[in-house]
Amino acid sequence: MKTLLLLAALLQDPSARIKELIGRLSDENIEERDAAADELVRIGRAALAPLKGLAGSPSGEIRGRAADLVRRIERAEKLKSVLGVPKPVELAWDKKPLREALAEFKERTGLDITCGDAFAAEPVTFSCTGAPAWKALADLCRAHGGLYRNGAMILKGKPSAAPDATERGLYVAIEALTFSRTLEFGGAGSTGANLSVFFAWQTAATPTAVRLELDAFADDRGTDLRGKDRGGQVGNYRITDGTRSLTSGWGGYVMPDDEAAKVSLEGRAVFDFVIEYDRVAFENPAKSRGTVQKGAAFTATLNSLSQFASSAGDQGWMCSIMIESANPNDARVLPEFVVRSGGKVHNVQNWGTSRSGRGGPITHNLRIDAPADAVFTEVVVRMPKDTHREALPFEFKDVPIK
Amino acid sequence: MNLLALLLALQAPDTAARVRELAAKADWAALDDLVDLGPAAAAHLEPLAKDDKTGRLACALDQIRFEERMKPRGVRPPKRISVKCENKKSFGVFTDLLRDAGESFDLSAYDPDDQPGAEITLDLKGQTFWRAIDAVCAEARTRIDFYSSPSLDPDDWRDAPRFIFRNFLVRLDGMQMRRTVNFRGPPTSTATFDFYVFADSGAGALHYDSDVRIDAAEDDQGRSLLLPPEPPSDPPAEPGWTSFTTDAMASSVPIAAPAKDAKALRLVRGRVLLAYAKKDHRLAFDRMDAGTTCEAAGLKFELLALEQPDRRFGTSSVRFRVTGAEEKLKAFTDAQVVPRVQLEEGSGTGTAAVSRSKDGVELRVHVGERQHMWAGERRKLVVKSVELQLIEELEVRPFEFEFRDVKLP
Repeated sequence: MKTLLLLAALLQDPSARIKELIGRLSDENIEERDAAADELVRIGRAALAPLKGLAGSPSGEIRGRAADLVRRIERAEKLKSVLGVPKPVELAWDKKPLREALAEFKERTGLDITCGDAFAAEPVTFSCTGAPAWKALADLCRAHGGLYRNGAMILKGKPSAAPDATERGLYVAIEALTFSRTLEFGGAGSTGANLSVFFAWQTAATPTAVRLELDAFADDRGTDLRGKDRGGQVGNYRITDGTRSLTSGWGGYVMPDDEAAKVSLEGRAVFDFVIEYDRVAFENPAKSRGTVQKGAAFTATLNSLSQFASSAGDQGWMCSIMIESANPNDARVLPEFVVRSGGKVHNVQNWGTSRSGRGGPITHNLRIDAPADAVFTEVVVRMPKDTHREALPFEFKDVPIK
Repeated sequence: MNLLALLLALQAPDTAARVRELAAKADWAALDDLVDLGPAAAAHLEPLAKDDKTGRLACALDQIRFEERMKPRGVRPPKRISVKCENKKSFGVFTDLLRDAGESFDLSAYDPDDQPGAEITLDLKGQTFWRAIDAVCAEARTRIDFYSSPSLDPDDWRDAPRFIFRNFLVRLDGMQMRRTVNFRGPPTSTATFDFYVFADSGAGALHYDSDVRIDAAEDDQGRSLLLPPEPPSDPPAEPGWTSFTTDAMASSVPIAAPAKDAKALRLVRGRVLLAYAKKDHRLAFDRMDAGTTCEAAGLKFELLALEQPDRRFGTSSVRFRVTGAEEKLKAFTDAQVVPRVQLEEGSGTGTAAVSRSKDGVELRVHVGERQHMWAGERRKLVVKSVELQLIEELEVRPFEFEFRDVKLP
């Protein structure tokens, strides 16, 4: 009966349905009102105009609900443009040469995976239906003893056993666990462990940062491996636009017990996305030293722009920009810099920051890869205005380490 | 024994007896004394070295001949230092010692106004510089460290194994062992030795190869820690020469991990490759006038500009255009130039960097400040003159070291 009602609702004229749902926003029953609101958000863009039309409603309850729904729908629409909808992959290969198989994989998924000549003719038998692209690649590696590294697939004979998880176009795998023992002659020495984690995504926009949050990380002898200082977190890696995957390593974990044979990890891979930027631009920056530009939520001062030469023989340009913002410690709102000369965008590396006073403005020292005769036309500072965190949960039990 | 040796033996019976006495001790401090006897000792030492299975006497003989031959090239025997103090603050002992030896160390970890450090009592007579400073460090629980120059850290003493001979101190700071479980491939394990190598101002070497080589390493379980040799590269790899202007280097050397039950290392023997000038030219730029030229070995250096310090990043540099025959320019590298910089106030350091562009070959001398004996003394980097030592031919010589019976922590 419920299915029939839903089917009937879907077949109904959308504008009539929207009208009906808007009418239910003033229902006496709060559950009815909430259900109507949620369905309007699901309908999305088509419901925006009628909801905006309620701005003049004499009922405060209706005005408030409509304004809230407009905000929710607009954000959901923006989020769609950031996350996208990953296309599931269907593959059916029977002894297909690896290079041809990877060419087909690229065509279907957009992921450009290459392989060396030595493996180009290796026959691959593999099938999957409805898997996300990164999961399909991981299963292919698992089935064929393949190793995916730096955009290339290498067949090495040993099937991959990397624990992994995937959802909504996001993918995470634990690549390696390294145990280290440092002996200091005449000193205390130390032990530790490093995790190497592979993050990948098939989203419409590139995430700005990724990290791993561990709620549990222990060996089978009961040793908590998270370490006091780390709090279980792996990195907070900034990502260059256009990158499709990242392998990151992070130390500071505790070395497992000598007798331990397995470890278990539980937590989530977190992907940060920027939905909207606040930006300011310094035009003709060589003549803009000392000028201040105000964005909606931050102020930037172009302190200096000059050539440098280091004692190691390194040469280039340095730019110092001071930024005042309300939330300077939030990793989600770290500024990004774009430096142009004419139509060319130069590579910019952040060479460190310094802060004047507690909570005061932060000065960013940027190294710009540009020739000595570069004539810069614009320095853009953009600060994330609206961000979104997408978490991919995982639970890897009894991962063998012997 | 040849005739010359016989004559020397007849003329200097004391030398012969002293050589025999020191050779019988065969520890490295005695070999320091032996090398100090100079060429007069060589003839007496030669027959003893032939019968010495440890190779140490041959090493001492080689060192005598090397120091004699390299005198004109700045190689000097280590200065002999005496230290006598009673309940004296270590800071004062260090500053006196460094002043007597004419060596520069960064002492900024100390506050000179407080006259800090442990009170020490010592009576050292006629020690080489590194033996003297090592003895004071051990007494004062102070570590010789290295950032941009050798420094002393009064809060970080570790009794790490040290090898001292002539102008060098080699310290085995630690070992690192790593085992990786690769979920996408086979497991791997690696280990390294961490060395520090320090040289005093008499070492005279221009460059060092930053890869310390290990020739023998064995634990007390009889396991060799040497890795299988890698296949030779084609063309053979050149040493990674690094300028010795900083007077110290750190090196991490891959090895095989010791046995699980190992308690000690029976032997670690290795060498540092050092490069000395064999054939060179001195090009003096007494004034920093653009357009001034000097030439040697088929290369012409024209002073282009003196770039004064950028206050923010603290370096200044002198730029030269280099011209000459194409094959000479092609082979021209950073390792061929050792700059010596005279500042308006005192001497500076210079690092050579060669760059190539469509405009030709440019040499840039990056100017730094010699570290001073204590903090607070800083001078402006105003360049007065620059001398370029242009190396036409390098002489490569290994400095060998050994550690025996090192207890594992």
